[in-house]
Amino acid sequence: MTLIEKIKAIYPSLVDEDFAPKGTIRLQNDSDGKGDYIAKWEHPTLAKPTDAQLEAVNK
Amino acid sequence: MSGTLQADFLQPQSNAGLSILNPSGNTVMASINSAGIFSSTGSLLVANTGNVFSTGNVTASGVVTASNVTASGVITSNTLTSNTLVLTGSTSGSVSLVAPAVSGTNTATLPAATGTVMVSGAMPAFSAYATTGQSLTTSIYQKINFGATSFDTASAFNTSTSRFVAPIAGYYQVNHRGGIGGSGVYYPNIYKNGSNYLSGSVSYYVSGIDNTGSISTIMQLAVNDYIEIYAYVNTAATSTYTRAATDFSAVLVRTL
Repeated sequence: MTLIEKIKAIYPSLVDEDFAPKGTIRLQNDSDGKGDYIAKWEHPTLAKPTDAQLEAVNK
Repeated sequence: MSGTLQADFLQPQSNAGLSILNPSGNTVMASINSAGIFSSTGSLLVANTGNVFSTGNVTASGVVTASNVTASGVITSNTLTSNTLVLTGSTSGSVSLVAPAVSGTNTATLPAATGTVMVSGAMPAFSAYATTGQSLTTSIYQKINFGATSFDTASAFNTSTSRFVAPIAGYYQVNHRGGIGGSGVYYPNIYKNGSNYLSGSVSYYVSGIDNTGSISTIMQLAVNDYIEIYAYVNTAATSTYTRAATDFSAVLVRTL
């Protein structure tokens, strides 16, 4: 499950347009082996998911 | 009286200084006053070099007007020390600085402008390219790796981190070209110090041709500022690689 899929699972109201380049949420990967992460979260109403929330999506 | 004078010291007998007279003894050709300042009524010929410094060529402010020094306009000196050295050119030609021939002769030609003179050896430039394809995930800004360089004049591009670190503050021309195979969009971005600085342009898929994106700008970098390339794709794909298919390059255009 990709990071964007996890976030959408936590917040089903989010759509692709909420994510960069158009939206206020930017997901990033620095190609350093540490994987994808949330580089910017400026959504006006939804809080940035915690690591625990993201991990819980896998279970 | 012969024309040769040999002495360890010449000492004036009064505070008036020393004078050198013409052969007839009725005209002062040159003198050293009590303050130690040398002056000449005519030209001063430097015997070993043949160069002539004429009166009026050195002003009260210490400016040497080079065009009158010799017929060729050359001032030759092993050491020229001054707080400020002003070389003023004419309306044509050029003003050149010729370095001592330590390992050859170097000439710097000054432009008709005010600013910092730069030489190519002090202007970093690099060109890097990808050596392997990267798996790019949709909706993720992923840093693009460039595993090799065609040139890197200042050793400022790190192929391990795919990062250019500015060794000199100034304005840099930065370019990138990349792409993916397949029908998705490759959307390139220049990152400066870890944040998106500028997004590039994309081209849409044409069968048989990689989908490419490119970006070019001039940006100001301070010493140790770093730039990287991140790409966004709307469909999972593998990035292009090889020298012909990818490029990340920059060159210092001018200092601040």
